[in-house]
Amino acid sequence: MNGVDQGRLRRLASELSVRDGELGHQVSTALDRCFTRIRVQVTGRVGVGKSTVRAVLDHHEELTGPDVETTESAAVDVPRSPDPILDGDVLIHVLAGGVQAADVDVIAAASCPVVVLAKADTVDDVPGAVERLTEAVGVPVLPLTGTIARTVLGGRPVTFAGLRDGLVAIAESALLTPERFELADSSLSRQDRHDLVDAIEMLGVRTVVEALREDPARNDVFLRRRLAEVSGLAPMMDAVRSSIDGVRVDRAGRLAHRLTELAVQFPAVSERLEEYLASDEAVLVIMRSALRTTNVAEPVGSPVDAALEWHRRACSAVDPSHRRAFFAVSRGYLRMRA
Amino acid sequence: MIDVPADLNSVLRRWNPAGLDGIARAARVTPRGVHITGIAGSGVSALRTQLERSAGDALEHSPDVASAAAVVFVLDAAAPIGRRALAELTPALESTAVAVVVNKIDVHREWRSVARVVASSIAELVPRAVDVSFWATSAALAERSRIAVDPDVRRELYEESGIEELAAFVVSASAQSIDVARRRKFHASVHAAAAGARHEIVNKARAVTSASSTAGLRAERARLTDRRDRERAERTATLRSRLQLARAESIHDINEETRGFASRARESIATAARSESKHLSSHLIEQLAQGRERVDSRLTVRMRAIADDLELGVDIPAHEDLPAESVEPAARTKGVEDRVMVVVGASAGVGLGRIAVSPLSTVPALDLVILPMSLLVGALSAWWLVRSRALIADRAHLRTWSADAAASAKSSWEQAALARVLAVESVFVPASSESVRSSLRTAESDLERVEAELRSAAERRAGVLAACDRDLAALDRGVEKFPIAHSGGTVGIFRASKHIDGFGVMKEDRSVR
Repeated sequence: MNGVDQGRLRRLASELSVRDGELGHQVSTALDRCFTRIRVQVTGRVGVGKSTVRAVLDHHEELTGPDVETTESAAVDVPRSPDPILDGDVLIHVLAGGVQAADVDVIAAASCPVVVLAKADTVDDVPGAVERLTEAVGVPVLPLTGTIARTVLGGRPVTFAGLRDGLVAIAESALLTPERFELADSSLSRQDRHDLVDAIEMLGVRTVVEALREDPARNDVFLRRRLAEVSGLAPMMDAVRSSIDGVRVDRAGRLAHRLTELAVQFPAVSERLEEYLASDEAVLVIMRSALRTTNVAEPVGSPVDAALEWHRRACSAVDPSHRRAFFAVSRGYLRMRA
Repeated sequence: MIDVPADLNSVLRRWNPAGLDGIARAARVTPRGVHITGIAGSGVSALRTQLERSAGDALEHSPDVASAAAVVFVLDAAAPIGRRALAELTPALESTAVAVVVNKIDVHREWRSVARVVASSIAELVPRAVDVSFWATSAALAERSRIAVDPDVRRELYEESGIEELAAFVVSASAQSIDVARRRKFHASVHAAAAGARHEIVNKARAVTSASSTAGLRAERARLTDRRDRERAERTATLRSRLQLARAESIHDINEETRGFASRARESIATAARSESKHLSSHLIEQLAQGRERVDSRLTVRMRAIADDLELGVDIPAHEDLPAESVEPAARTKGVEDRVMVVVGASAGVGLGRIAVSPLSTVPALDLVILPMSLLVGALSAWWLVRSRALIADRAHLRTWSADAAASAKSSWEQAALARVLAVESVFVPASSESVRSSLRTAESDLERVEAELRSAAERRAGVLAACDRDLAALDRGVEKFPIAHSGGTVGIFRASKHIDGFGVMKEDRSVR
């Protein structure tokens, strides 16, 4: 799952525990810590659309599987009630409209936040608003129209036939507000229109109407794809996935570091552990996590040149964790050469 | 406006001087115009533009809440008001007429429930709000109406936007009597200062009544009481057990010493030559005396240790000199066995002499010498036998004497040691009682001091609490003269925009409370 073969390491732990119970126990603890479920926590102020974002996430199998758990926290910044404890591995903070002091505090305190502007359909100038919000919170803000995303993921609306038929009768001004749309003259029944707005919001209705006006022959699959594009679902899911991957890489790196410590701590019984740490799998894991820690561009050239460059960086690094990471990458390149 | 009463003024000066400054500022201010603010991103500037466009010159802007006659607070219809935004809004709500505007109703379908939650939060959490009204607007719709081609649509959109009514309200609110507005601000500042002072007073009272201030004193009192109750029994028991222990140790000591003396004496007697055995007895007597010294000194050390440990501060009574119990052994009386030994020795000597000289009889020339020689050899061996027998008898005599001496020394030492322990006990017990009494007296006086301190702390606490109570009463009395001027007409009124007929929404105003 994160480049580490769990079965192999578990076997290694049980072998080690035969030789030295304490070492086996320590390795098992480190493995448990590495392979425990990743918690994705959705948070935000009251009424910003946390539940919708949660429902969108629940439609993705990789976020509800055995190794990832998605939860929704209580609302922050509620009068007369304390803020919830936000301790998820990945924090998805939901904004609606503007950003407030409470939002900035939550995002600043989180280690790995994904900030989502839910109800992006209610914002006039989405790119401008996203830019302003990104500047205010210091983290990229991803616009999402949660209602549309949830509906499309759920395979609804089943058909756009009603809208297709009543298309001609819908005036431009009727598309301005939900209430105007529901009150406008149309062949669709009022209840149907109400349900449609509930499912895809006015933004979805406008998108479908525009697409059909361009070419009335467009089929429902195309319309649904267009709605998914408009909802901003894909960029948000990419961000969530990459955050989860980051957590996995970090955990695997920490595991490798802990195993190295244990190999030094129990020199008499650690030959199997050292064997593992010298394996391709472990070297790749260490390198990946080191590259993520340093977040520096990779030098180009042959592996030897790259190794030398990384070694030079390591020698000039001040931060000990960066220094360790640079050395790990340099060793990885040397190994590639060999 | 009425002045702040003197007693309220003095309470505020003591507890919340910053509040007095606020009151003075509020008294000087001349409320004019409208202050438009709100949550970032909720369309404050768009709404300001629309209001300016609608009201024209009638709208006068004010830079802050303190100098404004009316405040427009803009919220996004996306989500209800949060804790921090409410905290920011509270001072404005308590001092000035506020129009809480829920903006962007065109895009948020749930704006009604959001507005209802906002209204109920403010009603519940800001009970001192003076004049708050709730408005639903859409600056975007108003903007859109300007570019609509159809005049009907234009009019409808503009009416739906709710800007016109809000502008009318804002103009009328900012044009209200300056006296009323100033009085509201003044009263609100008095209330705020009083609330600050009340907070300070309650904190002070809490600090005074909390248990931590007297915890040290109460712990000391418990310790002293405990010491007082246990001191006597503990010291008496300790003295008694230590004396018993000293007695047992001394007896053991004496046994060891006499046993050591007996074995040493036996050894010396066994190895003593004839010449030494004469002086042996006096040497043994000297050893006994030394042993006694040792036993005595060890007993003294033990007694002194008891006296030091229990801090008795008395001298150890010196031991009385007992008469030297050991006497030189009496001279051995010669009995019948000595005489028998002389006869047996003589006859054995003659016999031996004869046997010894019998080889000479084979030489006839030596006949004359044989008799005198056998006599001489017989006499010599008889003398040696008698002498050896006397040495053995002397040793046996000395051995008996030393065993007797050890036994008698043991009994007399034991007696002396017990007598000494008794004498020491008779000195120690009164001394111990005296020291217990004096330490009890100290504990009692300490206890009295602690009790007095606790009493005075309680009195002080009562005094502070009474002062706090007085000040709180003065605050309450003073604040009563500054009633919150609710303008009943607009509190809790929610104004929805028109034209939304058919969805369970009223056409005109409707109350949400």
